[in-house]
Amino acid sequence: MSIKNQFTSPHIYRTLFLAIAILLLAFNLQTLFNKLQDMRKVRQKIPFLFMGYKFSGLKDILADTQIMGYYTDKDLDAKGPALQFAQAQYILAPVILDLNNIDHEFILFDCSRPEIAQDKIKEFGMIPLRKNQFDIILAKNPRAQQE
Amino acid sequence: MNILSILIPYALSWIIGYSLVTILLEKETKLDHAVRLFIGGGLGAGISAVILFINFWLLDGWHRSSVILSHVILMAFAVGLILLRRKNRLQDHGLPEQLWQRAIIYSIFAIAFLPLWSQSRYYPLGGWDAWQVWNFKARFLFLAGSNWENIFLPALWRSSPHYPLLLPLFNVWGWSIVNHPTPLVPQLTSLFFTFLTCGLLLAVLWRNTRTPWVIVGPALLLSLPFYGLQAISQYSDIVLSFYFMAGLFCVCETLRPIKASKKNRFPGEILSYTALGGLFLSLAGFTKPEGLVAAGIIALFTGILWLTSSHSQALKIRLFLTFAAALGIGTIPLFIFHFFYSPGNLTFINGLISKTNPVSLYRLKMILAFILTELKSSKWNGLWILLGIGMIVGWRKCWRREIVILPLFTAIYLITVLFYCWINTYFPIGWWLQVSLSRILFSLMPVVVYWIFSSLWWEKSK
Repeated sequence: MSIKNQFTSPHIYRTLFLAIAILLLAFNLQTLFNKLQDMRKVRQKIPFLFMGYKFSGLKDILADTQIMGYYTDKDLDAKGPALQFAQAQYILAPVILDLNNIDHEFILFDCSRPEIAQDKIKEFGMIPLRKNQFDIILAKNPRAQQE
Repeated sequence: MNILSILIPYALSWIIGYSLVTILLEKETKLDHAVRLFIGGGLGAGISAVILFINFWLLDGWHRSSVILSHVILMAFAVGLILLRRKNRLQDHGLPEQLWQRAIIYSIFAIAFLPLWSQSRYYPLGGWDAWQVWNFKARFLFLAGSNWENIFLPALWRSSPHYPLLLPLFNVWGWSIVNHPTPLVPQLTSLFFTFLTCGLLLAVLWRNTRTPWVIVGPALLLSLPFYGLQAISQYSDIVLSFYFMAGLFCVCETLRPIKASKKNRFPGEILSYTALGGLFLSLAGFTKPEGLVAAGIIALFTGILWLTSSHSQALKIRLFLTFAAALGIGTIPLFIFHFFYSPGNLTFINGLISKTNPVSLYRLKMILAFILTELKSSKWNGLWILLGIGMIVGWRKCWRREIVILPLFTAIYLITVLFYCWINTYFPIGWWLQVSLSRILFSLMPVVVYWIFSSLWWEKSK
């Protein structure tokens, strides 16, 4: 289509639409450029953090485990703890995390304070196996049958 | 890790899809390589996911060598068939029309795509829903061996075990050559489908209008930061969006009037588009439950439009049979999934009959308020308002028979999905709309751009 055709009277509204669209495109490009700049600055200050790494390093113990308990006193309706749980599930796949079910052979304790986790492990009569620097504790339930 | 090894599965799927589309559309008089390339990519991805699903179903787990072998055999078969047929009927189609204009708009498209690649590098693992649902499932399927069916356990209700598996299976396929669940694959998959969706939008607009101005449509999407963010979030919505586009495009091609005197439209070509439309809609159903709803809506309106069309009675019957056959064959994996594996929707309370969580007028008011807020939200940079202006400007042409299914589908699909949000009282409506309304609109946006831009420049269509 010739450019001249665009500006003849039957097409005037369409041309108007096109003009607004091109203006919007310019605005989009401006915001996109700013967004990319902002993201680059943020990533230079804080590299991408994946909370799931808090749960790595358990593969050797969980090699033959299909499902394990995940005990937490955090509110999983809140965004932060829900994200952490989702990332734990992602990183530990194919082991399934059964939320707040302590009947499994292995239980992962992810509590708001380490003392709470330790108290709960004692209360449930479990054997702590491993604790990492993020206060995530893997414990074994001596009463559970192997799954 | 070699990036080329990661790209091999994508290339294999693309070649398979492109070859099959070329075989199906061999009766098309005007070659449209761009359209074939883009719909071929999506068809190939869907076929790969189906091959993996059959592999999991029959061999009870992930068997890398059998999956790779199946792809190689299928590719050899499809490419061999093309070569054989080409040998039998040598044709010189020459260079495409308006070559320079095409070259320019596709170059602009390629440049417009680059910021998305840059954007995706800042979100290598996508959004939270991607870890919780899609990428988790892919990783699980890849690592679980014969325990893969555990993915459907009710304990995983947060990961929506009732969702179909096209996207996770395609990501597993992406890991097949490197044999490692690298996060780069879901990232590439989201870019792949965004490329196909926006590329198909451009190719289809060009086909309908033959004007270079239509590049503004896909460029508007790719330059919008929120659209980019949704596209690279590694959710299934970009995949769904592609299948909506591809399915609707194929259906629209069957609604063009046949001018017997010109002999430029053979029923064979229409039937091929009908078959492809059915396949794409079934793949939409295998992507997300909403895809099945969309397939039903499109099938219903397509049926009505065929019945009331000027096509001959014999052609109408063939259209229905072809469409039903393609849709039926394409939905076989979905039926196997639903009948043998899916635990059903664990996050559904029917508010119409529930006494504890009944539907309320408040939920309905919230939905209406959210739609208005969302459409004028600054995150869309006024794009919905622009499309609204486009609809007013091209009002008379917006309802052309050939494209009327686009607004019908958009409106009825939106109403249906929001009606579901209203009656399913399992989730608080505010939270639900906050996380899903923008995704629903995101998946529909290419279709709306397709509709508005096609309408405005329709008179120059072929």
